[in-house]
Amino acid sequence: MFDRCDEATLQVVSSSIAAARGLGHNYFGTEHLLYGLAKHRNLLPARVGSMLPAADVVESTIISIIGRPVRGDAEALRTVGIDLEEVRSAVRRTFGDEAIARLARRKSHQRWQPWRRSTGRCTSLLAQNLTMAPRLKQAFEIAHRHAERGAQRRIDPACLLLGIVEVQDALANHLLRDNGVDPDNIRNVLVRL
Amino acid sequence: MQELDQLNEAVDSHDPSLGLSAVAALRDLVEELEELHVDNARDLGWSWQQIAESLGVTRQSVHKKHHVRRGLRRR
Repeated sequence: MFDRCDEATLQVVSSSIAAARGLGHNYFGTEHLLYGLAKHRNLLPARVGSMLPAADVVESTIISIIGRPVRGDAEALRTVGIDLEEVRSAVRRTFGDEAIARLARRKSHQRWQPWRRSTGRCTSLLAQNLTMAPRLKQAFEIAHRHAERGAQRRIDPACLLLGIVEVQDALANHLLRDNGVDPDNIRNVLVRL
Repeated sequence: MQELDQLNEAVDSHDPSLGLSAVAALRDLVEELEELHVDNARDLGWSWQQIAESLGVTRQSVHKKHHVRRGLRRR
């Protein structure tokens, strides 16, 4: 999915992922992407960029809607004196980034084992892998369709924003409305560009 | 305000949910580290017997636990 994005979009995506991690969320959703777009509004066409709420406003709205998770694994481990970040960097030093990436990809093959999570897929404390929210996938698909029509055929930040505002009940759109921005207005401006 | 702090402390120190989730997280972490180290040992050509001795378990149990997963990884 990300191989269809251009440089600017990848920049937006990586800071959105960082934001999702920073909030302690275990998924990556349209609201995080909206934060990334608001933060890098200079990568959007100026007329649309100025319509988005400020990045820290987006962040505080996300916290007010979803909240931080009550207690993450990292915090639980800290109570018994283990710094997960420390363990992670030690593992990275010993086995390299590839080993960590492999932990993120691993599948559950022995579901009856108690340490496997019941969802059938393994989460990894060390890799901290995020799952992609379904509406985010949808947004990317729509963005890709729009990008196909353009000359560059790659998803630029404007296509991505268009993808988000066209997913009807994406949390990002609730978030925009909460901040007094109508997603349809953004859509109209983007389509006319 | 002070009362609130005291309440927080009382909750934190004896809260089973915190202790239990710490145990669950520890268990997850141990399993991940075990996978990494077993993989590393096998890649270095260690036998299941050698790995089992270092882990302090039987050869059968370490083999049962890891060989299927390693097979999946290679595929």
